[in-house]
Amino acid sequence: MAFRIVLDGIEREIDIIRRRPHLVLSINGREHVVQNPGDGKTGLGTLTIADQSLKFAQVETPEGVVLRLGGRTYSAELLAEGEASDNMASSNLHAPMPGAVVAIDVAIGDTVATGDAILTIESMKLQMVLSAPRAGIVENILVAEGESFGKDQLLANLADETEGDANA
Amino acid sequence: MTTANPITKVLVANRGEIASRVIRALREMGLTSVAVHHSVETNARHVREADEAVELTGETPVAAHLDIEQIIAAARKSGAEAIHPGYGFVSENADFARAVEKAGLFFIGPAADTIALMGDKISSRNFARDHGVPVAPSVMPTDDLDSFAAEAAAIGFPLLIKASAGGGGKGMSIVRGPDELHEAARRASSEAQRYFGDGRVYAELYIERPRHIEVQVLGDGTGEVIHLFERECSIQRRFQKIIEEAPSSSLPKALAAEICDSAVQLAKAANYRNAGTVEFILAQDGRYFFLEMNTRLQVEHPVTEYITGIDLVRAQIDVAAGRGLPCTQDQITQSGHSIECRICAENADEDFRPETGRIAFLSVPDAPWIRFEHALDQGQKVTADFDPMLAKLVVHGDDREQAINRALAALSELAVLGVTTNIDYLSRVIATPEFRVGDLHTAFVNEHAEALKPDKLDPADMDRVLIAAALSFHEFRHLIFDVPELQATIGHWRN
Amino acid sequence: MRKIQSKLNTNSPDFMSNAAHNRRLVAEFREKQEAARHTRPQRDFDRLEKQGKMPPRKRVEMLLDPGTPFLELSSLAANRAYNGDSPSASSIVGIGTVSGREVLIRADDPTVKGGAWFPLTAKKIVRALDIALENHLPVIHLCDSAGGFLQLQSEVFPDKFAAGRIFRNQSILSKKGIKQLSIVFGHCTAGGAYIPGLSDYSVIVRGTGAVFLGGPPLVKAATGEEVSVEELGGAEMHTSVSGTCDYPARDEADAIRIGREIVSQWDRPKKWDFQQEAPEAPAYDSEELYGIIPNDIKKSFDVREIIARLVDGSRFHEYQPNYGQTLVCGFANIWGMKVGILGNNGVLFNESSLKGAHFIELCNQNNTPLLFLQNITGYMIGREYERRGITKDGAKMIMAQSCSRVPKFTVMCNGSFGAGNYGMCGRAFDGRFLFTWPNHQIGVMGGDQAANTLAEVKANQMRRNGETVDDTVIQSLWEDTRKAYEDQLSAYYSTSQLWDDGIIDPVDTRNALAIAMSAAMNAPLGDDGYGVFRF
Repeated sequence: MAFRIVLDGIEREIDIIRRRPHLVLSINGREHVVQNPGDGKTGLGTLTIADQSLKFAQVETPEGVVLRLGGRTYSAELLAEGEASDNMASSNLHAPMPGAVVAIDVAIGDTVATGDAILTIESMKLQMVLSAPRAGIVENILVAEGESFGKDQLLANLADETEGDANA
Repeated sequence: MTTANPITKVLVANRGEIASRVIRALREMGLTSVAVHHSVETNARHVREADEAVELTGETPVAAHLDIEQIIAAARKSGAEAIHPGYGFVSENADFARAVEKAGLFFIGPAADTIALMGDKISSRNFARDHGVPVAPSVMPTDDLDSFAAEAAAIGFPLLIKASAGGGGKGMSIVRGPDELHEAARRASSEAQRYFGDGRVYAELYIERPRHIEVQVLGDGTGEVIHLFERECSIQRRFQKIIEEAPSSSLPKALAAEICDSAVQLAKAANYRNAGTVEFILAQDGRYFFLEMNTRLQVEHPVTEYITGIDLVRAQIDVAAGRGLPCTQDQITQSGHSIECRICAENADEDFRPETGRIAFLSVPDAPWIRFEHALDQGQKVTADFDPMLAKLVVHGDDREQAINRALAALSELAVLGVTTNIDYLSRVIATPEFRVGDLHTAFVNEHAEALKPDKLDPADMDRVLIAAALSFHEFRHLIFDVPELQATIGHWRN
Repeated sequence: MRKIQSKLNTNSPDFMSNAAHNRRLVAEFREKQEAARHTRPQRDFDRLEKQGKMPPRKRVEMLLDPGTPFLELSSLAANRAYNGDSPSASSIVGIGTVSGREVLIRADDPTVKGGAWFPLTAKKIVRALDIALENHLPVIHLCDSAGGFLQLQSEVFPDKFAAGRIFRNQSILSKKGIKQLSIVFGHCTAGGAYIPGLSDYSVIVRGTGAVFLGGPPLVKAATGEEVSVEELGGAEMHTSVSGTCDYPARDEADAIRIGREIVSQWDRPKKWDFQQEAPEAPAYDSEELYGIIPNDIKKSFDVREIIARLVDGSRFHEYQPNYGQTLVCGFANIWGMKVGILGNNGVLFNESSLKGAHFIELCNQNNTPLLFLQNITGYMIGREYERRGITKDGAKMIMAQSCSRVPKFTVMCNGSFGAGNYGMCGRAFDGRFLFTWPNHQIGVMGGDQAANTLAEVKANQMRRNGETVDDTVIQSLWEDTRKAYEDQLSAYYSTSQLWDDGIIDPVDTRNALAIAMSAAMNAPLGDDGYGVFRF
């Protein structure tokens, strides 16, 4: 499995060529010997690449890694091939319990991000928001405002943003 | 000074690095400090550092820090005899100063009337002119835009149009010819109305490539005023300073002395009490004009402290307590050169857009010639609630060149990770040949915008950065190191 | 341990002629292997690409940890069957590292008849899962198969070691806590549906992946119901309605990423505590193996020369160097792992058999895995040897070897004839892995002897039937029989039938053994004890 690293908008492929006697990594096919790979811990660290010592500071944030090296700050993201984590979620919005629709918060064809509100429902005198389990396009809304539904009933579903995918 | 100090406890009506700075001075003076804070900053550094803390309520954190009544009530409640307002917030609010005095507390600042006088562009300008301080030719403020245009045109071009009540660059524009004048005046007026509730505008001669020179003064309120030399604050973005230094990079001695004397003259005329700053605009030909007077401690005060060795916060408190000035003018000398860089949470490559985030890692360079003024904590959130300035990095050197080199080294070592900052940008500014030779003016960052963009890394450097980045990812390290020894040793092999 | 002093003269005509011969054999092997792996009609690749699918080998490569080895097993299975219609028996099997775990990977090959299973496919999969069972290797199935190859269903379906055994093995694997992950790239129809069904974890690719007992045409024929693939067994349905699969994936790469993440959650089996040292490369170049292996099976060579090119530092502690010299026994390390080696240096006599049996017992006592380097024409025959009990001495060796509790590995180096195959841990003896060199021959007896015997039998038959049998007839009988027999002797026939775990290039032996041994250490040692030795 190869990885891609995106640094300040520039994307490169990074691969592990060897681990012994020294780590050898390749960036878009250019090989580099890493004599000291550092400890990977947050904060100040040292690396040795091609016999050159490199001091830097780094933190891993939810968006990626922020790195300070040679008086410059960089932000980097690591992507596995085919990475798209929100696609692990289902495309279907099922009713978690019986209830009625209070409000429909999107329209068919809307592009939604993970967590965006799709429907507000009321059940057992409690209102709750059903949100998008993944990013996509609202393909169907199968209930109307005020309509009642049973447990597990399909209320809405999402399609992929890219065309001609799953249901082709 | 041997008189007993009537001030034993001081409420610091501010937050962030300046609150920390004042609290430190109070501790050094053996005085008790009281911090104020909104509920969102209960665990902030200034709150922890102070001896006591009082929570202020407010719809927004900023509103809390602007709430005069609450602040005075907090001072009363805590038993503080004095209030230090820091800079910003209520520091230049004459009503606040008046309320403090009315409450029978010491205001560590000038008299309310002085604040009012200097707080208004027009009145301060007239006051300066009347007391022999040069002011730029200008048109009196008016909201009659037709007469304004005629008078303005008479000064000649280029002209600078400003809101009379404004500051911070709001409602400011440069007019290069008569055609643009009317429209610019209308726009400035409406913007001024919108921001300050006062649509009056005025115009003055616009000076090309001006330098921003300011003089630190200290007055005791009885007419005694000393100056602590000038500072140069020409490096600005969006009309706000980002790099300041003392002394000015290339001011002839005589001119510097003349400017300083003008500042003292003005402050004396106002019977000025407190530390204050008289700001001037300096033309390339050596003419200088009064800009405004800031009646408070200045963000960039540390550069003056560095070259004079005088603790300005301490001096403010002593003056407020009626204990007089720390020294006479003759006793003040300057040594070396100091540079301050304002570290801001902003994206310099995206028009200095303010940034938010969380300070996931903070590493501060340490050397006897470095002052890092901040109130940051690792893990702290940086929100849009407050000003984007996070900290100040101040260095001192035997001369300007050494100060520049030390500033670059310190900036390079400084790591504030988790929120985008202007640290790299500041390095790039200081590293320009023009900065090094002192060819400064207030439009420096615009003029050199192209050169100040981050340069492209050469591919070898880029690869090293990519490797360092990759090796910082937990997931990637797993991929490398989480392989059994045998397989790691055999490596890629296919039969 | 002392270094073996090689007596090889790399400038000798023999060496050069052997080397030329063996390099040619290896080139031939590589050619066949390359064809089995990659040569397909372009339309098959085009079809895959149109479906958004990767060729199966690319899936495997993407699944593996970068910069780690992959030992492919039985790459030439079925090379002599079905007119070559089932390269590699339509399936890829190998041992590699995924998310830092040693795993067995088994992939269907949709470039061949939609990934349909031939009889030898089933045999290969069963063997793969046996390897997983014996060595406690987690299994990752990369599923993309249309099901059993209908034309040969009788051979695929019902027998004990046919397709059903796959699912039996899957169940036992799970029972033993040996994890299985299925990544469903294409269709898993009928029996094939049970592969993900019986896996502990499963990922399915949206759009292309589908799992069902009966596909839409079968459903229509059986019940008249018309249903789309997606509705019947697509990713969405199985991950949100039926729960047959666990994770939907956007595409194949995404599926592999999810699969790798699943594997990274797995606990690591504790290896048994075997003796290990820092690895060291052999002192002699392994390429010299080509000059040692003779260009004629009848020529002999010293197995120590082979050992010197397989083991760490070429260091070898030889056991009983002066006794039973036709069987070389001793200790060495391979990639740091201690191993007891038995290598043939001629026919097995009474002494060599006794020595072998004793050495096997020592290794069992010492928890040392066994490595058999086969080059054996058999046990010595003749009156004197029978009187001295060659049969019961050979039986002792077989008994000791069969009952060994330590893992056993066999390399077929040159020849394996007669009962020698048994004593030296042939296929029937549950060695963990068995590899064959391309020059190797295997049979009850050598080609010439077999041809003599068979031609004689045939000639007698003809004579009884009143036919004239002159020398020309005998000669042509002999030649025909020999040719047919030779063909069955060849390593390719052997590997086609899965009598081994694959042909390997001799220079790959050291790495292949290391990966195999490391895998074997995942499973605990077998039961103690032996049967009755006949003294």
